[in-house]
Amino acid sequence: MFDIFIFWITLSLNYVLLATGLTLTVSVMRVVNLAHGNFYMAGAYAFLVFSERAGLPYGLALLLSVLLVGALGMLVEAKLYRRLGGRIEPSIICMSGMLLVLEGLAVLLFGPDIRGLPAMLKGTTTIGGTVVSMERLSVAALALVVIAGLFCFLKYSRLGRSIRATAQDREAASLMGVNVNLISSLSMGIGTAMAVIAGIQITAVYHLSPYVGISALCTSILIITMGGMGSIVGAFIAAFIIGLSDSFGASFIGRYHHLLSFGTVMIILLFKPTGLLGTTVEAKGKG
Amino acid sequence: MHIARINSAGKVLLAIVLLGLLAFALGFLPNRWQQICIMWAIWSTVGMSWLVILRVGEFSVGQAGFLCIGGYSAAVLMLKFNCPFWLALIVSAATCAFVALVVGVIILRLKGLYFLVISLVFAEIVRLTIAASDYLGASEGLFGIPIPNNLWFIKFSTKQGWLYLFIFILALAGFTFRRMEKSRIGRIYSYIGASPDLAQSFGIYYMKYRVQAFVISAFFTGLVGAAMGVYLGAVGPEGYTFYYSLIAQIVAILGGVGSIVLGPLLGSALYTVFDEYLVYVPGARSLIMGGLLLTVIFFLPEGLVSVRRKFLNKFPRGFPRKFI
Repeated sequence: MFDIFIFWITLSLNYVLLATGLTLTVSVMRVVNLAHGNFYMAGAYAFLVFSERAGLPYGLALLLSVLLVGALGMLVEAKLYRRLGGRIEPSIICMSGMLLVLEGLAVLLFGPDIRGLPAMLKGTTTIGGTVVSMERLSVAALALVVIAGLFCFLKYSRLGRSIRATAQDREAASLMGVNVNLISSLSMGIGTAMAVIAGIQITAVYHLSPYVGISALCTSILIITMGGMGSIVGAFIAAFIIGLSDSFGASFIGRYHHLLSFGTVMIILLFKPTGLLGTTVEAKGKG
Repeated sequence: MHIARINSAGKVLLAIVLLGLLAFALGFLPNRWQQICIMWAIWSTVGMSWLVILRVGEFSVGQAGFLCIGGYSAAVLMLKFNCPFWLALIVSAATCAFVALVVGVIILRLKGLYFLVISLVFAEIVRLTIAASDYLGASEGLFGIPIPNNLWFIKFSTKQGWLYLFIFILALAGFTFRRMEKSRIGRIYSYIGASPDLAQSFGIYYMKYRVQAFVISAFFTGLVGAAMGVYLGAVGPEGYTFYYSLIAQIVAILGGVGSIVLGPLLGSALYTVFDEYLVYVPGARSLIMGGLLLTVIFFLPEGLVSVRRKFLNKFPRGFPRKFI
């Protein structure tokens, strides 16, 4: 029981990372980044290359893959997405194109097989008489540090304030002297970097294949829909609820646990179409 | 020209006869090209159905859900109830339409990004529920669906027979959507697509038409899904993933979303030829499709249907255009 509890915390913290990344891009760019899950997958493969083929230590490999794929995300925003002028349909199509390109590249370069990722720490420890694997604890700790860092960055730094201002009202922010183009690229880069960290952690617990991106995308979309698009605190709460169904639900209900999380989201949407803590991103996106 | 002067009923009749002859001729292609033509007809129909939802202004990424429901209901009817093929086909399509009605009334209350997201979630719910249900074969799916009986000269034990069936479904969908677009309903859809609030201020109860478009789209997707399930002889939850929903959008966008019939026909032709030749190289298909999507959205936003006009614009004004 305690074991599942630890698993719930670990999984949920990484879901928070994954979903915060998506919700950041949604709130600034006003479009769902369908390629989010595949950036997560790409990050995990980049990590695999850095740590296994190049033999770098864990921390360095993590940092390099985060920077590499984060830069890729920024590049996609600056060179592709921005040229579409913020209209929903072309942006979604552009993102679906990126999704397919990343998936195809991963299959071509690494093959369609399932792989495992190295863990940060090995071995086990005992907490209150229960044996817990160090891998899961370290994963949870790293996620917690990154989330706290992101939260402080958004809350207290000047750049973070600019990001929040742009998310609230793009035009007003630009009138106040915020470089909204830079902020868009930056938030896409940060969002992608979050996905990469979550990807490296979650695929180390489960497995890695070129097709894990879609399920990661579905999970993060469920979370941000439930929490409200553009709301980071909402994503935090929703990630723990979805994590509940993926850990406790998976152990006690079995195969139907997906239905539980989907059903919960449907019911919440029926009564509150903007999600738990949602603001109306959609009203501005549709113009 | 004389053809221009015959009345509209005559034109329709002529078109039907010509298309029928063309379809008949397709049945004598080599086996591999018959296979390509079958997939072409399937994805064109799905692409057209997807465009119907786009006409009322919503971007659906859940077409795989209806393909899945259609395929599974046909499989269950034929395997467990020994239902004849034709009845199974119609009942499956009706099931899809009914599901779309019930689900649509709820999820069409959402707009824009929220609808997009919830349609994706809907398709995944359908797939995961089926994958968890033992009655529906769990993750293995249902297989061994019997081959339908012959219909006159159409034999369903050969690819030829299936080609005729899928071309017939494609023609049915094409004519329906074309008629819809040219009629009052089509204009109402485009008003709603442009601005639901404005449409409402003109006295259009837009919710009704949104659900209507969703149901019609689901009916044809379900019909083609059911036929596809029986054609392949097996249905499994692994088949109906998000990728199927993407194909619907790929064929419509490659062809051009401005034209409800011609666009998906062209886009689907491009897609199926690539698909057939790239299926042996893992990954190449996704890569090329993604690359094509990006190319089209940046360099040819109106799709392949606009190529002819762009080409013509390169010539001087007096150039006799009707010969191209």
